Amino acid sequence: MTPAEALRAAMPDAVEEASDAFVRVKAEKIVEAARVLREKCGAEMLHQISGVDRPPDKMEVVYHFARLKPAEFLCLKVSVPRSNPVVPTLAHEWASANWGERETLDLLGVTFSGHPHPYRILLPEDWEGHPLRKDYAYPVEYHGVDCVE
Amino acid sequence: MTTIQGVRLDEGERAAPALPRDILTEELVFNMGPQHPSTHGVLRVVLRTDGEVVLDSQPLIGNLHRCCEKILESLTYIQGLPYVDRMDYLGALNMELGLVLSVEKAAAVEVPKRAQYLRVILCEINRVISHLFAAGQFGLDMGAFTPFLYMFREREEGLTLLNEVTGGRLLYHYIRYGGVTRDVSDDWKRKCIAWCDQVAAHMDEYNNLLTYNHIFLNRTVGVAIIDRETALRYAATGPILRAAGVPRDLRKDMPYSSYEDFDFKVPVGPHDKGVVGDSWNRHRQRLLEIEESLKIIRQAIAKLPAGDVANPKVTRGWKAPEGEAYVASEAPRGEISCYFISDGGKAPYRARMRGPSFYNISLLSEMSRGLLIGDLIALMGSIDITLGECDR
Amino acid sequence: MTEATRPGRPSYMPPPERFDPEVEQTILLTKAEWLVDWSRKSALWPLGFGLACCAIEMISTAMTKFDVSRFGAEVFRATPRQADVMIVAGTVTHKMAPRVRRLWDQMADPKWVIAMGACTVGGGPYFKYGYHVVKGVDKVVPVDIYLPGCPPRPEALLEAIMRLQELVESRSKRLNGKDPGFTPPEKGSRQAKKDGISPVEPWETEKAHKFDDAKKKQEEDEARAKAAKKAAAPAAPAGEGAPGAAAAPKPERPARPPKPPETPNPEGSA
Repeated sequence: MTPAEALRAAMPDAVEEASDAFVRVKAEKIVEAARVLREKCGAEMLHQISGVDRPPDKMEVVYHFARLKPAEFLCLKVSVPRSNPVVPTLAHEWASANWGERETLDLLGVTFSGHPHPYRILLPEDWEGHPLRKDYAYPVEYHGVDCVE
Repeated sequence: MTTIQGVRLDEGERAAPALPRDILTEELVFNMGPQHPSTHGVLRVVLRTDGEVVLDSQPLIGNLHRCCEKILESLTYIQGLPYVDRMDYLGALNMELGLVLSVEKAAAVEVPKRAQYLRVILCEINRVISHLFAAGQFGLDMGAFTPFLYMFREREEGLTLLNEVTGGRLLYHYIRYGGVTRDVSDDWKRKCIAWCDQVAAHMDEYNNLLTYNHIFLNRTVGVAIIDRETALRYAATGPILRAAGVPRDLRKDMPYSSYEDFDFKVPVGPHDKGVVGDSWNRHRQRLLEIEESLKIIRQAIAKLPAGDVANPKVTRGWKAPEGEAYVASEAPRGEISCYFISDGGKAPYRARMRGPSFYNISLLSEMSRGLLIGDLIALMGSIDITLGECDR
Repeated sequence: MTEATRPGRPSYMPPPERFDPEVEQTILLTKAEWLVDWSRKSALWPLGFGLACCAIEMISTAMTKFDVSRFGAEVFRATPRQADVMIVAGTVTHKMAPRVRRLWDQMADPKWVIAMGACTVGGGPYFKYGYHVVKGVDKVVPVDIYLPGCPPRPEALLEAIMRLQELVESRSKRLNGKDPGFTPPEKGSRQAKKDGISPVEPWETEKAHKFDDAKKKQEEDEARAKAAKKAAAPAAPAGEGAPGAAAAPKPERPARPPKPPETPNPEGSA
């Protein structure tokens, strides 16, 4: 079954947009949607979590799942408001979501509610700002080392 | 429960051998720092140990975060390509392919057949030298310096081959959107086949020196078993997944760049010694993959078609039209993919790179529970991480 | 002028008040400085500090094709306490910068730093949009040799090590306040050989500093000149008794005082 069919059948009111390439679901239903993919469509690996900044008012989190046989990538998208981006975490069911979500938190500022270790992963703990946002201001100085060329 | 810099170390179960009850032991929390000969780069691991037995560990990455994704959004398409090389600097051509395949799919750019074959040849040479380095470094971590030197002999010859075609020893900037930059000569093809024969002839030497050496076997057989479920849960791919018994290789499952034209096997664990998914199997997996790659190189050189090496429609200042794509390919350390979104501007809107080592390292904390520190080094060496693609 | 500030004494050595001045004038001490510098440059132990891609080229340099072992530098120490030179190979990020500084602090004197690769020289390809990259490791540690390249070839790293060796070899001369002339090439260096200057070691030439003899010689010459002027002035109107006048009488060494008579044994010979 394709993800669009499976999700329309299991949770029709959570699906916002569906096509062959991806399915957009409501943010609060992402955990159930991932479960449907695992049970009905055979998704075995959470391959990648990407965050996309869509100014001025939206931010997207894109999940790519991998199915082994036949090999294919299944895509789920979640759209959240940019001023308060909160998504439930998948880290309890998919262990690779742990670090993927930490990176999205670090670089884009999306909060994943219920995440076991919601701390920055790539940047230092006391870094200010989220670099991958489109309106990021480059720092001038960090702990005494200047950041301009 | 200790908290270090916001990172909580849980009290894992002690799976250690039973100690006599009258020995008083203490728990230590210490740092296997970013500067360490065995961490393969700037990986920091905070360990909580009871003597030599690791109770829990937490890898802390980000010491090599070089802002690759932000830079790809800021510079033009052709300017951004060199930054992807520097992700996995040991297998740089595969990294370039990772970005270029997604862009080409989104923009529907045709790649000439000759260019596809050239990409295959050079990426497989890169895979061979990357595996040679990884296998040698694993030996170095286990204390064997000589095999590393011997493997470097073949690696240097391979680097000379790549240097001749692309102009760089370690970082190439060779694969571009729509093809590659330069063509190869007949002389180079001859030298390449000679190099393949040389590597194949030395595989016995490597196996005798390292793989079937009984000290190495003692240190790696049965150590740090990453089984199928753990690898899939953590999205660990590449030799880790194949040594755990999962026959997944994107070159066969989702072929790209004409890999379907070539006849090669995908080695899958368990191999002749050890348990499926242990460190020895991962090491043996890499050496077997070298042999398969040599087969691919020979076939590709023999069947190299004539034609262009680049799509003439992709000119200077080329911009991808609006669209998005997600294509994954098989890099030496796992699966690299790029989630590419374009809005028609001069730079990608979002080029999200997936480095395989990011996910391979994440299983360190669960796998290290109950291991001795020496076995932890075996685990890290057999996973074979490169921090450039982990931190991007 | 005290013992400590007399020229010819390297400033890092403490003044040996207990030494006899005659001992200090021997050639052995000059040769010792040279020996120390030579042994330092021939056994520069690098700190194994590979951060990124340049680390792979550094490893290639240590392997058999490019063989940094010929320069005595194949023992890459894992600990900074035993290392002489820190080859910063790879991009330094803001997260890593305090650790780089701490490792440099932990190295014992004398220590040197080679900044290998474009990222350590000035930020490299990340100089403009890399928010997390330190634009040059010289913002964190003082650097002696800058080696550009992305990554530099192993031959380039060997060139950097050779330049560092020249720097190390000329250390005592530089500490004495003499500028050894890093460019143009020093007498006796490889470049000087190519230019046709005779391969004589700098301390063997006439210009090498000899301790008290030169000062004494200078004072003697001055005194001679003064005496010659004095003798020439009144003698000139007298006539041309010039030849003898130029040579003033040499000041004589004071005669040794006679040996005192032996004091009789107070206890008397038994």
